[in-house]
Amino acid sequence: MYEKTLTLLTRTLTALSAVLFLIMTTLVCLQVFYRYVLNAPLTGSEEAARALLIYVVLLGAASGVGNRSHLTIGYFYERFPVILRKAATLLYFISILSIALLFVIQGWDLAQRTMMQTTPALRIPKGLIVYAFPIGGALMCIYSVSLIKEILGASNNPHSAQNKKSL
Amino acid sequence: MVLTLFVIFFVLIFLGVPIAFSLAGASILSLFMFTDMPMLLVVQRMYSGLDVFALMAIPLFLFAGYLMSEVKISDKLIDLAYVFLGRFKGGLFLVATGSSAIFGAISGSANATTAAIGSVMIPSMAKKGYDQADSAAAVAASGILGLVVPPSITMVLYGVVAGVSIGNLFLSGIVPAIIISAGLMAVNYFIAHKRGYDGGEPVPIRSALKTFRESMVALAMPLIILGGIYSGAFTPTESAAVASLYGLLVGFLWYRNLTFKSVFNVSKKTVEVSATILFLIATSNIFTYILTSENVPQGLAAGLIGFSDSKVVVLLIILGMLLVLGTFLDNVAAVILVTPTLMPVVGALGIDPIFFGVFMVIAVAVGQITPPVGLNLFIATNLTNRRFEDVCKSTVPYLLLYILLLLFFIFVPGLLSVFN
Repeated sequence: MYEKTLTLLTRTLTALSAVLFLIMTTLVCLQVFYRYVLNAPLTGSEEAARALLIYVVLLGAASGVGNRSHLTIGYFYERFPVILRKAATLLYFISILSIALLFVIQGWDLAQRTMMQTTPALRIPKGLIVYAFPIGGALMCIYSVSLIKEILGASNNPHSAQNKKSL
Repeated sequence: MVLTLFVIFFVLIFLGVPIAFSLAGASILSLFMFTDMPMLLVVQRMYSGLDVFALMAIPLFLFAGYLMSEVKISDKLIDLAYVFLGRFKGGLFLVATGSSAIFGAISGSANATTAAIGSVMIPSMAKKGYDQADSAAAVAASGILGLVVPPSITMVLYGVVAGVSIGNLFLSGIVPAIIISAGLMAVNYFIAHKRGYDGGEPVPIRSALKTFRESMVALAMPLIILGGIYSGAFTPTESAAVASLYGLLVGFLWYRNLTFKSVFNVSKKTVEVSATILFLIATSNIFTYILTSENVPQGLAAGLIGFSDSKVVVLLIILGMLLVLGTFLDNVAAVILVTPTLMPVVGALGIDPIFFGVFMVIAVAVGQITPPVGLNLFIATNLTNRRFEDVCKSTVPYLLLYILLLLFFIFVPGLLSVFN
């Protein structure tokens, strides 16, 4: 049940961030089009695109915890004996959970504080953009829980350098 | 404090915690233990690290590159390279290098280039009876061109972190890319000569013209990117967006093999890869904040310059360090971590930051073809039936070539900043 919900969550998140990304791309293209073809530069497009990028990154980073796509040095980890691996995964879990909680608490605080500041072009509260951090942090907390099963359960896991997505 | 920061960071990454979280974890813990700074700072630093328009070029260039792979532009570029290079000794090796160089002008990633070119070239080399380990080595070594030929993801990163013009970096990548391609082809030719791989039949003029016509649309893309940036019409980010739009138009209207579903899948892949890169940039912004507030880069600069005030000696030390870092650290992570630490050294010695950027991008890219974690090698090996160790052995001549060329660039630095 938990796993199914998590898969659904990942799918929704990936789809949502893909849509946000496509909107961002369109905005940057429109910016060029308005400046050169219509000779009327858009004012808020760059700001909106930057805000979207922050959401794309935080949402994508959260689902990256779930499918373990963050850049990792897996070389030593793969050569550890099982018990040490489990200890390392526990450490992984603790560090992600604590960082994610910090995002939730401090991000929320920062968002509240910056609600009064408005962005220069669009005049929207800056806090709305900062909310990406508590939201991303909360999602990371949810995903980090899935690691517990790995610590308690089976010893084989998909943690290898070969399947890491990277450049 | 700095020592604690580094110890925690290295323990975490070697235990398999993702680099981004290791950076954040080590920074947060050090701030907590040694200062009474509010933790709000962490989120603030990450926010300001991400709120940069130039960074958007990374997902957009990745998107454009993935789109071009999706419409199978790589096949057309391989055909094009074959027209010119196929007839020579070891022709398919030469074609792999040539097509990687052209594909690199569309894609900003070494891995994407290796995958796109290798998936076509390695099977056809096998059909021609080329040794599979040699083939994989040639493809993996040529794939590095994806990061040297503009556009390049790591150049964008360096430009953002070091605060230098991304457009100038791109243009300065062209000359070394040509030199590296020529060097790779020389090594290809030498290996083919030793193994006795003959060239193919020359392509008849009629089908050569047809190939040329078919690949024209693909070749227009680098012109849009570089022409747009160089003429000042676009910022790098805008040129990446326009390149993506061009990719969509080419896929839907010209080659007609793109569907809405595949575009959506490509954007999902883009988001997944770029979110992890950009998240790493965000967390590194806290890490480098601590380093700078503790004057670490300045200390390092003073130490290095105290050791020797010759540019050449310092660059040789840096090269050694970058090559070692590149063997176990991903390109993106290496550039993000090293750039802020080394900029004061570069400044103090009067080294041109553009030269240094291109030099560093090439030096860490070499890590793509060194074990244990050279991703280009893994990608190429997976396309063959050979063991990773065999491919590593075949890669040695190419590795030596890269190191020789990097040494050469130290002595002739003007080659990496021609347009400056």
